Amino acid sequence: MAAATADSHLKTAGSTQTSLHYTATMARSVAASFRAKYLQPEGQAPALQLTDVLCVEVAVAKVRSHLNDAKVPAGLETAISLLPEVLAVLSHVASSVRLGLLSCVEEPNAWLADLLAVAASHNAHTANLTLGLRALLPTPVRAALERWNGAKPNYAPASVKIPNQFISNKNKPGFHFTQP
Amino acid sequence: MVVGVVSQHASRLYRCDSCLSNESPKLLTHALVSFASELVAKLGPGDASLRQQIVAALLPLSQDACAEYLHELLSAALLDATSDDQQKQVS
Repeated sequence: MAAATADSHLKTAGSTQTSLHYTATMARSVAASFRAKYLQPEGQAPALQLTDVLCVEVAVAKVRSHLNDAKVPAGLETAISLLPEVLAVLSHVASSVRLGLLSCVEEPNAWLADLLAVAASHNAHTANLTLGLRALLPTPVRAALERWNGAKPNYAPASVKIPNQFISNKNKPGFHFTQP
Repeated sequence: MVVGVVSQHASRLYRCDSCLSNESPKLLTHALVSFASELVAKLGPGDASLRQQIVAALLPLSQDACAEYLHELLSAALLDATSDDQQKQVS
């Protein structure tokens, strides 16, 4: 998706009091753009770009707001119609994350990505297997994986106003207030 | 809403330049799984095929080492998707 298209999507989505129909149209458009750009044969898809990530997340946030609005019963039907697209995007993003974590090794192999895909450690019944699998990962990948899972961002709902950290005085160089 | 999404992503870029490839997909993955989770909670008795689609997508993710931070959300969604309607009515 071109940056100009992404910018257009974001501006339109942000400036319009959107109806369910508009939201559905916008979400389908964003999903189609994502599919065309990223859902390609293995090895041919480009790296995820921030503009595309933002567009998809905004579209999903809007669909979720309709889905959770009791006054819009058709929101459920719209969400259901978008489910295949959302799941396809989810699968691709998960795959991209695995490849991203492997970027810290010089020659990432496909089997390392497959290893990551099955090495979740939360299942107590397969703890030994997981330990064994993770031992096969290169040390930098294990470290990256720990950092990745260790940092838990605060997932504020998209519809909630989020404090703007850029205009917060304490984050501005030269604008630190000191307590007397 | 748009400002909220952009702010979440941008604030992470502000904190750490090297996080671009990590933090934004993490937020997006969380949003997509949340969508599936919220949707499955609203499905009715006749939506078995939709539940299957969601399980088919979320189950591999629950085994993914890169999705451990979503463990609780994924578990709840999978439980919702796989529990039968009678169980839901009882609970």
